[in-house]
Amino acid sequence: MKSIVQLLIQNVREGSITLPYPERPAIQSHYRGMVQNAPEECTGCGLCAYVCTSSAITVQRAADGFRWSYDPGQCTFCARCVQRCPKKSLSMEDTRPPVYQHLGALKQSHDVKKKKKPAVVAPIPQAVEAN
Amino acid sequence: MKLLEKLLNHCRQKSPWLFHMNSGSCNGCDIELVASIAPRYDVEQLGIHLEGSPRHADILCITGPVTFNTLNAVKTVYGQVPHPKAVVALGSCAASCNAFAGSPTVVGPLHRHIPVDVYVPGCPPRPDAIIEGIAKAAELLSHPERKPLTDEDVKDIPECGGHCVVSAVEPTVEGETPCR
Amino acid sequence: MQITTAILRLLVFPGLFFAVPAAWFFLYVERKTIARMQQRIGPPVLQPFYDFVKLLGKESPRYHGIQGLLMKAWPALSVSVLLAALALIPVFPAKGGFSGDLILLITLLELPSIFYMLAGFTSRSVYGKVGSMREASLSLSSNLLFLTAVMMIAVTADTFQLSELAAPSASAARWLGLAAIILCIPAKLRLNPFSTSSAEQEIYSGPLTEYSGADLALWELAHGLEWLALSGFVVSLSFPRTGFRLADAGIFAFLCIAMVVVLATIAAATARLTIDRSVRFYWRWSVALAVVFLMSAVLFRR
Repeated sequence: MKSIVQLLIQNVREGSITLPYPERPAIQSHYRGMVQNAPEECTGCGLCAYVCTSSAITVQRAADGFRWSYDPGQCTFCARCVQRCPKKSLSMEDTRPPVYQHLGALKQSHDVKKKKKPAVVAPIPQAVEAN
Repeated sequence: MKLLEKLLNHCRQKSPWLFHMNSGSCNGCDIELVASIAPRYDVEQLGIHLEGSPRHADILCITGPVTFNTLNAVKTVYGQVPHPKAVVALGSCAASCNAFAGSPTVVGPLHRHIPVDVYVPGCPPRPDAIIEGIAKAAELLSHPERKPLTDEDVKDIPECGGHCVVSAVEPTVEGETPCR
Repeated sequence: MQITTAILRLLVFPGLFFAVPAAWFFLYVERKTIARMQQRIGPPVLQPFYDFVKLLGKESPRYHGIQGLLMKAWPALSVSVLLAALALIPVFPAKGGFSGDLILLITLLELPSIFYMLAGFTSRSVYGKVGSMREASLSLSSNLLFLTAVMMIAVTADTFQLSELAAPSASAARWLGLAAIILCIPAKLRLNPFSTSSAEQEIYSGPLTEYSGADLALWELAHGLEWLALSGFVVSLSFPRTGFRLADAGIFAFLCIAMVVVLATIAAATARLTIDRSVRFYWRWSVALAVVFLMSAVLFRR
């Protein structure tokens, strides 16, 4: 247990440990940053919107597709959506959300059009030629 | 006179004094805010000083979704901060009530009651994000067009403790705040 | 003292043109020392100047009637009184003074603390009242020690004129008295461990809670000038004069800054004491030392 005088001498000798602005500490691995969606994998099931704690994700369905939107300003970064996504199309990136000035400035959305299923035409079995 | 104005604006950016207010937050954002005063991040290198009285401050940092009990306090403190001032909504609760949206005791995000200049997202935001938000607000303070509101602008608004600018009006255009 | 000397002292050195930048520099040295002790970078050199100019541009809340007048008067009076006190400090004793100017200097050094107290009461805020009551108790307890120490220094040197006191003597009374005065300075400047009257966050800035704008800028300037006046007073009574004015001014400045660094280090090392502990500390030392000082003043006068 050091005395205050020893602490002060040690502090002065070690110098400052401050990060001079705008330097910032490195982001570690497994950092829960903003949610990213891969539109080619997403099926619009809406489970991420269902489990989202802060209603930051919404999925709006229309006749010809769906719109997935996400507002990092409302997100609480709990990663429940990433855990629940059945297609593993959601992931969290390593960057922290930036500071913004107007409401909704960070909102992102993807429009995904419904893929047209190729028409599968089974060949009509021909009448077997009677021998 | 132009030179004096430039000097004044430069000094406003170099010396932003802070007042921190908690309007019902879980304290996570408050802890990160005081972590930014600690030696590792040291906001004093930017001239930022955490003040004890709202009358001494330029920047008002508010955390938390505005709860029913703290609504009057938020409006009063906003009125007590002298012009020119800037408001920083710290954390995602202040921007959008986060998980508490729809609760009967939460009266909505901060922009419904006072004009907000900078939003710092995160739950809680990292101290370096908070410092960046405050630095952005300090830069906004140095813009010469932020003139103080006169009595004509505030005469229809209920009086609470000074130049109180209260607006319960929803922003009509996405992203625009009233009273600017 | 000639009228030209008086005006030069009031306006040039150690008056207005020297004192205001020096006050800002002393505030910077205090904040930087505390920052370095805490392993931080601290503010840049011009920070007190930026704070001052920014506060001049802030709007002041409008108070009506006599309250508004008094609230504007207290900081302006504090600054003027401190500038007058600075003019009296005998940096160059050869320039003369007048008999009894020590008493005038002590009066002028007491007034800012009284104005601070009155500011808290005038602002009619609860936090102001609490801060002012604490400042009153602290000032009452530390002043006994301060005044008896000053009395002892003056009586053992058999003069109340500052220019004659400015040459240091080897007497123990002088050094004991100066040590006692240095012990009282943290209470006058509201530094840790005696910063309870302006306790930030605890009573929302205490007496200055309702101040803003240009008045607050003057209070901050008054704080810097108080630093300068008190450390200048102690240093000017303790260093030998070489006779060359530039060398004397240099040594004076260096010793003042050394004193600021020492007091700021003590402020960084200690925590804030509650009001009852602060008052008890000063009363114990006051009663014990006051008896010693008064006895030695009587026994050892020339």
